[in-house]
Amino acid sequence: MGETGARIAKFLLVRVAVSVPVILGIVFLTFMLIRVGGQDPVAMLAGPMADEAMLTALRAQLQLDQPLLLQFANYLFRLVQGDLGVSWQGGIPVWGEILHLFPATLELVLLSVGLAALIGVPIGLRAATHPNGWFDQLSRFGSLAGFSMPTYWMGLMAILVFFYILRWAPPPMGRLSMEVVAPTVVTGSLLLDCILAGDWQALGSALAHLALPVACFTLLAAAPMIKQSRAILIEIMNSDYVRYARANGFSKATIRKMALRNAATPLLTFLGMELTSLLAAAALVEYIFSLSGLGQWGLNAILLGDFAVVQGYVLTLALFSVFIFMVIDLIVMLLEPRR
Amino acid sequence: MSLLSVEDLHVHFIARGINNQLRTAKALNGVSFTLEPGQVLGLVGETGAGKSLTALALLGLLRPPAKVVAGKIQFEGQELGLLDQPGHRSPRGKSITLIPQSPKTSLDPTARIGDQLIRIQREHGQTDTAKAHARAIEMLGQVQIPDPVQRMKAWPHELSGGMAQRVLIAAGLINSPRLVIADEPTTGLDLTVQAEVLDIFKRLVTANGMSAIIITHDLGIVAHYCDRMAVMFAGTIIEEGPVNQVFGAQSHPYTQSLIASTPKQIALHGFASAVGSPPNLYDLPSGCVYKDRCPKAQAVCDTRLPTLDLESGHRVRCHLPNHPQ
Amino acid sequence: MSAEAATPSHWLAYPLGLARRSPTFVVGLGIVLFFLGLALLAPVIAPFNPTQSFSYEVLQAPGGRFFFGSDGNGMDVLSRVIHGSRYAFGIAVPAGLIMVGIGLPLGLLAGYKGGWLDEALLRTLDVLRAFPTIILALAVVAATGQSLVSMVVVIGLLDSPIFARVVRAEVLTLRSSTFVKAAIAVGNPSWRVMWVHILPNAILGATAQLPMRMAWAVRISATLAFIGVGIQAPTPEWGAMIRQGAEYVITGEWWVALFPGLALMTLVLGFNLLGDGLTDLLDPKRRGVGK
Repeated sequence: MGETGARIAKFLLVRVAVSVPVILGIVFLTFMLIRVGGQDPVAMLAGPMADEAMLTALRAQLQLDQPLLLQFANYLFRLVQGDLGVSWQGGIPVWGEILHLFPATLELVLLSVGLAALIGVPIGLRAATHPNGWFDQLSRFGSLAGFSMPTYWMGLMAILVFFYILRWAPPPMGRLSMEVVAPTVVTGSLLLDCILAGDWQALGSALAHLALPVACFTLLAAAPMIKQSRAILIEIMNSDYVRYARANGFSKATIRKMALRNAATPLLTFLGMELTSLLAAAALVEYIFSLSGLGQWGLNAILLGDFAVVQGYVLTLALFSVFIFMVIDLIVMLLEPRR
Repeated sequence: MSLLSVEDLHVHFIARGINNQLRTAKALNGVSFTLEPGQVLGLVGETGAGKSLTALALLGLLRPPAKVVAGKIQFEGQELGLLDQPGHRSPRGKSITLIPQSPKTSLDPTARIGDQLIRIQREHGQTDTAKAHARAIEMLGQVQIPDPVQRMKAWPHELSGGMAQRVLIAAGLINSPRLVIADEPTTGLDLTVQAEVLDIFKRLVTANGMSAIIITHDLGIVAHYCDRMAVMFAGTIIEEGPVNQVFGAQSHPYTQSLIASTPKQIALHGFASAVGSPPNLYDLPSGCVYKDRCPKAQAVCDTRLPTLDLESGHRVRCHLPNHPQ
Repeated sequence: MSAEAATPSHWLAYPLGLARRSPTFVVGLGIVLFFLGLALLAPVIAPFNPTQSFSYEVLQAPGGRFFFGSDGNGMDVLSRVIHGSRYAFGIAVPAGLIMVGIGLPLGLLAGYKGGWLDEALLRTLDVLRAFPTIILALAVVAATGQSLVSMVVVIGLLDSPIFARVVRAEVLTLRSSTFVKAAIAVGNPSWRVMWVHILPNAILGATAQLPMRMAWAVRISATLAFIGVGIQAPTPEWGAMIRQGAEYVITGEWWVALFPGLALMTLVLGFNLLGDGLTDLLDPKRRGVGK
């Protein structure tokens, strides 16, 4: 076990070392992009009554008049001390707000991606075993439809049907109904907090509010799962080693097991990638259903030019991506000692 | 009774062109040959002649768009199913085995060598894992893999090409088949390794009284390791017989051109220009399939294609012996 | 080459055969052509001027004068949807051109020469993988604020590396193919091998990607408009229309958001089907398991 431990340690070290420049690059890019843009947050902050002098003073106070690289250096300096700045909408510290909102987004994304994988992967696999059959054609069409549907529109239509017409779903405002009191915040994830507090009424309300957004998001996420798992399995079934296994007279069950074992790695890698890209897509869903998650906050910040928030948001996404890729690669490495 | 008897096998490929028209490629056209126990047959021909396809038919691995139009195969007196049908228990893997091309990619990347060798045995009835394990080690030793016990734990990507090929030979012989088919067993191997691998193969086959079919385009291998040889062209066997006979009294112009293309002959006689391009399986000529490329074609070649029995098991499909120029 | 099967006598046989061979392709093509027709003929077939507002007939349900109803500004939804296809193509086509213009040579060079160009391309793709829409929004807002042109340029630029990667993959496969090796062995100079031998085949392989990328362009531009970036208020662009419609869904005026969304989804689906069908037709291996 010591040898495996050493390999894991080495992998982690290398991975962290490689990731730092990538994250730095992303932060830098974001930093520059929002400052170079045509927006002037100072004017927005100061309000319509401000005159030139006030604007200049404000700019100096926010250090926006300094050379860009100096600003970036300052930002980095504070970053490594854990200070992510404050939002210009109300002076809320960015770091604290991220901690507060991120679990909510995570809740949505993990639930949806989990469901999507549970539905999408088996469908894709089944489609691959009977290629060009009716199931395959149907699932391919369904997958393409999922690709083509704009999430926000699907969300709106879902609200229309299930809330307005059928009155099944609660109004798409927030994560709990108005009359329900939220449980004490422990993890930040509403579902977990409800369970921990034993508050079943709140749990029910939370689930009801999550139902529609999760459903839409799951459908969105399932489309690429179907397509990719099908592609992976087809490639495996056409491989030399499956051909050889058939030549050896292996039973269908054995061949299927062999194929699945070989599919595990590429599937896992793909799921990791999907998870990270869907995390960003979650912003839209939160926006429509007013779920007060990180994505919604970040999106608003981009539109308003709230620099610190935008940087914090992008940084969170980037860190999360790196983390997920690291975990996936670690699992893959442990499963299959190649390279 | 022969071990293996292939009778008049016709296999077509039905494909659809871009405008959905049906196009038929006649891949095998009346392939017939027999094999006795303990014989080694060399199947030669250029790429696309139908050698690998014949092997697939023997193994019962044909799938659509391939279609068996006529013919049958008998193995040990029983007729074989040629198409890959689920649930159909063919002798493949047990009595007829394959040693495939591309050794490194034919092994399951996610399983150790030892486990794969054991799996092959378990798939064909061996329930005692300890015995399977021992047998695997024994076979690895027989193909001269050093330190077989350690090698059992190796992963496929850790092997060199030559070693992987030897593992495949071990896998092919581990269930003591009656017939082994080696498909281009030397592809991608260095020359020295080629000789080693083939020596091991031939030795094991002979020692265990097995029959073998070696598919190759290398006449040197045929001359060295095979008892009989069959030359294929455009899905037809155009000459067949004991190796010495065919090499000595080459009757078919195609065989002659093949032999004339070997390095030794080129050294002796210079390059013999080969006329024409590979046959178009979608549109085969009537009569002799080779006539468009044959320097000795005559009017009679436009009619049917004969089968002439020359002496001692040497057959040729050509009009020339009866119509010398 | 000897004769193919006999030429069919009926002129319809070819397209019908094509349809049976890949219905996805035909359906996709049909959809795209339909919307293209809408886009080209918009001023002629739209019943009203898309930005003409009838202040007294705000939020009328579908039927009567307004076939798809009218929106919150009293504008005819049907006319706006029809004109929306102009915007869809107006964004997707130039963006696609930019993508090919940059991505094709980039992919060719990276695949053929390799080296630092290749590495740079791959690294860029890695960074792009880490954030999708967000950076797009950032970039558009950053460039010139609310501008259609900047949106087109940004979409085209962002698509280029992805397209370049596909081209690069094709080039790599071709480069190790026998016929290219033969061309080099016979003594063709590098540029000629690239131009005559590799380019046509690489384009063929990458063609199927083009409709997919355009589908994405249409989608992403609508998404951006929905968020509120790049398109100003009365412009009849589908994403912007859905944005407006979002307000009215809760109060039950469903038509404002439904129709533009339907149009958007159909066109994107059409492009996707087209791309999928094209892949089917061009690459026999995609037909699934079989020998």
